[in-house]
Amino acid sequence: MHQQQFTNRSSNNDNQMLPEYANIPIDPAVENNLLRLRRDMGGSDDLVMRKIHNEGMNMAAAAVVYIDGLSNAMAINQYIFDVLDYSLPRYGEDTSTLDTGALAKKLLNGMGPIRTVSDLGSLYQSLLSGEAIILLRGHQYAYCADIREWKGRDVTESTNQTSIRGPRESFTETLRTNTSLIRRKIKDPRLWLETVTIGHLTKTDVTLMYINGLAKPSVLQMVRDRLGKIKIDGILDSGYIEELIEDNKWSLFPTVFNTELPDNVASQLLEGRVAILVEGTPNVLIAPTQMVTFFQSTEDYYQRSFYASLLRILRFGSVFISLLFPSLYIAITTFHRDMLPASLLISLAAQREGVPFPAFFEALIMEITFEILREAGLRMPRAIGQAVSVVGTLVIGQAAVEAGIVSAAMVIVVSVTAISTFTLPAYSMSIPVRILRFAFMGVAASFGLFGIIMGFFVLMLHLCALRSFGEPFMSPLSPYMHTDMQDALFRLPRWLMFKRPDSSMGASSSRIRKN
Amino acid sequence: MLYKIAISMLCLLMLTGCWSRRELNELLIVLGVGVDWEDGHYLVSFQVVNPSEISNQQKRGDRPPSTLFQGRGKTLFEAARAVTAEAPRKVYAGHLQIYVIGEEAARRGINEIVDNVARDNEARMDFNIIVAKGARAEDVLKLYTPVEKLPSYSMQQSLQTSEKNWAPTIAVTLDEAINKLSSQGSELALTGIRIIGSPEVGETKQNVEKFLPPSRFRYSGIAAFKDDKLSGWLNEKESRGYTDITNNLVSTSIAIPCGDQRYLGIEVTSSSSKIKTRVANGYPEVEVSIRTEGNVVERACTDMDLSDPSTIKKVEGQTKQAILDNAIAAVQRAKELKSDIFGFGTRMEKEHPVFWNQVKDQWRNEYFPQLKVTYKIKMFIRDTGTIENSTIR
Repeated sequence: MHQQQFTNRSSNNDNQMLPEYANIPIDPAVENNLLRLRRDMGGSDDLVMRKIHNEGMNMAAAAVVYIDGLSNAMAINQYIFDVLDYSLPRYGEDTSTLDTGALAKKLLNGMGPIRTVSDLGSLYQSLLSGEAIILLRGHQYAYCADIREWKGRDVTESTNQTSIRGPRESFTETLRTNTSLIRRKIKDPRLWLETVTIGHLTKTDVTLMYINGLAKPSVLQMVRDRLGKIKIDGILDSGYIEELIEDNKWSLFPTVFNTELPDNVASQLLEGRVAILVEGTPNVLIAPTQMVTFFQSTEDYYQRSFYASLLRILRFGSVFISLLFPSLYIAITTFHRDMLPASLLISLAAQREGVPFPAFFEALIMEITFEILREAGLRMPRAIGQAVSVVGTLVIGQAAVEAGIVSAAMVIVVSVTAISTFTLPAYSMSIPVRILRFAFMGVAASFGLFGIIMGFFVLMLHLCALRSFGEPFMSPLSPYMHTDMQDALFRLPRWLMFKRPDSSMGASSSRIRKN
Repeated sequence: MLYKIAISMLCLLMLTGCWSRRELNELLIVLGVGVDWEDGHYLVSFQVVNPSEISNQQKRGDRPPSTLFQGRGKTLFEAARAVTAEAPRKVYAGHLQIYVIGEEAARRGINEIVDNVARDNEARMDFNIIVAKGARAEDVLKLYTPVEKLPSYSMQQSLQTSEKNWAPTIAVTLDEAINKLSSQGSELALTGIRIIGSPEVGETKQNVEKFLPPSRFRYSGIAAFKDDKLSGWLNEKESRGYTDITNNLVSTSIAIPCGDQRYLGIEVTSSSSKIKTRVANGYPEVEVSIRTEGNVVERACTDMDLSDPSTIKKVEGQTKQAILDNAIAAVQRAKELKSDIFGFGTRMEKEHPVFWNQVKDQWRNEYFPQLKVTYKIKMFIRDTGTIENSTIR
């Protein structure tokens, strides 16, 4: 069992209340409140209510309410009851007049912070996020003790973003764990957090993290505004947020970066970006972001710069391959045969002898087959997934060639294309590439290289027009930013990367102190 | 945005010339074309690849690596189109390697041939043109060739290699041929190809089943053209002179007599030439400067001491003489044929345009045959290989 102790919860949740409960005051009679709670929650049996009676009194003097499974029942039993038992009887029947609340609060402070809520809306918010609610007779306030504790996943090694060198840990589903992972890397008071609650029903905590003074205020304000505008009943993953705050909602390309690596988030915070952490998901959003960021692996910064630069170039190359290789093959073999050396042409022609489909359909069949295999491999139970996908690829590739349905060259083209897609460290960027590959195959089959070039123009125009929170998406390539090129197509050695990127605040833009 | 995409798609559809979509297995890949003139008709032979016979992947059948399709017609185009009556697919000439002109067709004139090919949008300008010496182009293309399965490929490779390493051949591409044919001051010269042995044997697979193929091709001699008509052949010695004067020679071998039936072998490693023209007393003069460097590669005569610089000097002199002889012979033969294959006229046009304008119409028949040609030849022996004198006594 993993223990989560929450402290110092700051939340501006008042505007996110369910409207029907927001202004209902808390009844001074404890019983009435309990009845109301039970009725509101439909008698759900994870709602635990425990009353404390004063001697000789029928009416409950106090009650503790919590949700079983979200709170630490041991803490309630051992501590809250002890304190209440100890403090209540001493005042006999005068509980309604004395400020027992202040006393209880004082006593309870020993186990953690106590908040006071005065309406049912706030009460539910606290109760359902795992706090224990202490109701006292004669009080128009309820006291919330933060004893949240539930089962969560440990901080484990990332399975989706692996690296050879560098920190292994990845985010978990628990927001507080995630913020602490970042805090541990940046121990500076200027690392600020802002939490909002989004979702009428889920009331999910969403935390902004940024370094005050590095993050651009305009960007920060834009992030706040966009988050504030979200009116949705539920947020289950940061993907919800990502879709709702993107600049260009119809673009294929993601303009918000996401990662599950704390070191990646920390490095981006140091570059003046804003991290958006969502309760319940290990994927942290980062805004604003640039095209080149999707080509950067955290490992690039841990390995030597030459190796990192080589890998960068390799990744850019492989994206071009995975985007254009099948379409170039189609265009060149069906329109521009002159571009091939004679011996290659003959060899390709020999392979195509007897293949019944045009090159375009051949490519389409193979690409779709591969996408199916990939999807199947992903969704299948892990134990059989990998074996089946590998065998499937081999068998289908080999058998298709031997049956004369596709040419061997096409299998090579599709395989190289498929492998190239996997070099991208950011999965979210490989999706538009996969989709656009089909579009490019289409234009290649109808217009040849002209079509590919036109398609590429359109793609470039689109990319250059994209903005991420007002910042140009293709920067530093377009608009060209000289200082930012240090970490775009290649990575300069650390001792040459003096300046922070242009997207951060200009005031404190020097990374390295020269003295 | 949608509007812009629609416009650009329309432009693509309407404006590009990209309608010629053909799958690879819908092509007849032509590697060699042969043209013969026969009984008042052109006979065009297309040597096309049988891709499945070439590929490593599939089992080899007993079919030849390439097939010949022939068409007959009054024009070349007609003849080429007549091929479709036999061939299963439409020919694709984009990868044409070699264009063989039969001797008879060459004597008749090659203007039509070059014109037709140059007009074609599919064929490139970089294939080589050769003349079948004393043979029909058709027979040259029917040959089974060893090592390289595709005869056209084999011929083209052989031509390229021998041009670099063997003096008497030149690889002329279509664009060069067009340049020569369209200029008044120079005539076209093409390498000749000869078939050794009988073409009937060469046509069968047995030809390549022997150690020494009974029938094979060989580049020999250079065909000198007058206008577009073949007017005569240069022999090997003259061909050497020709390539040397026209700066086409890269490397070759020269044999220097040094005793009874013994020759010293010289490898020419680099050779460059310059043609300068003069007008003296109203008559044109040409000065050919050749600068050659070479190595001694064979020392057949034991009495020659290669460690002695004076011997080297002597060898240089003899080599120089051999080069000079070749050059003189080439010019002599060209003069006989009244064919200025060296491009002296073109040189004259560039250096003395006023004079050229006066004489250009009489250049070929009057001025060129009486042209005074002087030679300035420099020859340097740079090396004697890895040893000086033979260890053999």
